[in-house]
Amino acid sequence: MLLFPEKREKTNRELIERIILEKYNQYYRLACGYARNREDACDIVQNGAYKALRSCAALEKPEYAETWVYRIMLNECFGHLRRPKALSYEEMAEDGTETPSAEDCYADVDLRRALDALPDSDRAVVILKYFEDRKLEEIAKLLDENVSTVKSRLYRSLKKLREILTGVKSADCRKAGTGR
Amino acid sequence: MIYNFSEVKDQNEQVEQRLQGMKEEYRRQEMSEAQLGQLREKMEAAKMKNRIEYGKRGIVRAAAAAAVLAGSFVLLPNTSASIAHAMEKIPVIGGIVEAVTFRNYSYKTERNMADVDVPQIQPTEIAGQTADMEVSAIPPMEIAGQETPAQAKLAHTAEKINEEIRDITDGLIAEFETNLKQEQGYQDISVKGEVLMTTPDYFTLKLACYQGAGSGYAWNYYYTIDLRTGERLALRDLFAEDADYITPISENIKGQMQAQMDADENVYFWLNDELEEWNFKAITDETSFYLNEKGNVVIGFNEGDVAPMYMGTVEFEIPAEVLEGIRK
Repeated sequence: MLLFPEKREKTNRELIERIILEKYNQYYRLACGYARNREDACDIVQNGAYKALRSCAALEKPEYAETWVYRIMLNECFGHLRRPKALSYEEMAEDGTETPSAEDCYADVDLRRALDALPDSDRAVVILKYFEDRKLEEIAKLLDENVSTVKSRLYRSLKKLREILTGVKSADCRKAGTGR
Repeated sequence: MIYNFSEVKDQNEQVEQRLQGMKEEYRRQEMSEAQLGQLREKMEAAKMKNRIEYGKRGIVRAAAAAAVLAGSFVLLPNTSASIAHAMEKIPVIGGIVEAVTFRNYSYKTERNMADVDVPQIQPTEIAGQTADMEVSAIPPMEIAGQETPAQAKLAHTAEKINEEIRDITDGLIAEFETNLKQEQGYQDISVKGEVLMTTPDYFTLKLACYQGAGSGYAWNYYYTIDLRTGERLALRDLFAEDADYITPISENIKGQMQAQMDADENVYFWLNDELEEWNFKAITDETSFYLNEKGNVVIGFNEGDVAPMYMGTVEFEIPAEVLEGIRK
């Protein structure tokens, strides 16, 4: 038992610090899946790290520290999308003032745009499953959902991606095709 | 882009394949050095706020602020050992060897803190007067005043160790000063020498280092001299030739780790961790050690070596019975 918040603050802080400095590129990649450019992705990770360290005394079980930090990062990603100042890719491109950033130069541009069309949590499931090779159980833990919910998110996402990529939903497809 | 797959299943596989194709590109995304620097800055800012909130290091902060107000910093390089010695008056340890603070480097501003002592080991013949106070502790052969081979060896060993210490501290100070020039981030370094309570046969100087920039890291060096031979003592020197001391020591440490973890939920060592490669397996000949007042071997690990960083530097005293029969 930790009787002193100062002590918990210290032990948790050092643990969380270590985790962040070890896994920052993982968070960064995740953020890139939500942000429009490298700077925004960086902001997301920075803000997440700041929040994690500031609230580290709230972490009750150090063994969940990694999951805990990851969740904070996910929330930052989701929150970022809702922030008004974040311009969408289309807006920037049509504006002509912003050139596509490095992250958007994927060979498979269509897939990248299809991913952007997925809801926050669904996109996280796809990223974690296919890019980070996480097990469904792990994803469920990170998103604080049960495994069957994650499964249905995954199924729904694949269906949606398939539809977008095969042009079943012509509206989405046209939007994606004229983005540049 | 139209795909003519009749089966939904095939289409799903197609999507999965394309996702797989993107994985490599996804994984290649990394933060630049500059971005990592920004992240560390932000982390420092969070820690600073925590410190204020939890009132930790309040005194240090006040002192640092005062130093800023006065527009001054303290820098005390002692160029000569004799001056340092006169200032320090560190009592003689073990009769024939002592440690003096050769140089102290300190610097304090809001963002930068350094407190570096550069201890140096001196055989008392060189140190002069102070040895008289402790004459009774000096083994008979030294009282005769004749320089024995062991003493000559001792002078040489001490100089070697002193050189190593100077290299370590010079390196840390140089790094600190480079960071000062760049004027970014927070940094905090400290080096302290400590003579450990030892047996008349051994002298051990512990050099405790801390470097904080982004995240803090603490580590120790132990320098042990066998006063009978004047040689620097290696772990293997304590044991009979060909004796396996690595296994019993390592196994004992594992047992102690487990017992400590069982007794306290806040204690954690990398012993049965999921990440197999991090787990502690065995000590090596390079693992730090010293001999305590009971003559028992104490193994020391640096922060992050065998446990998460928050556990700090850790030590394990190996009970005498574990090494019975193989100690020299």
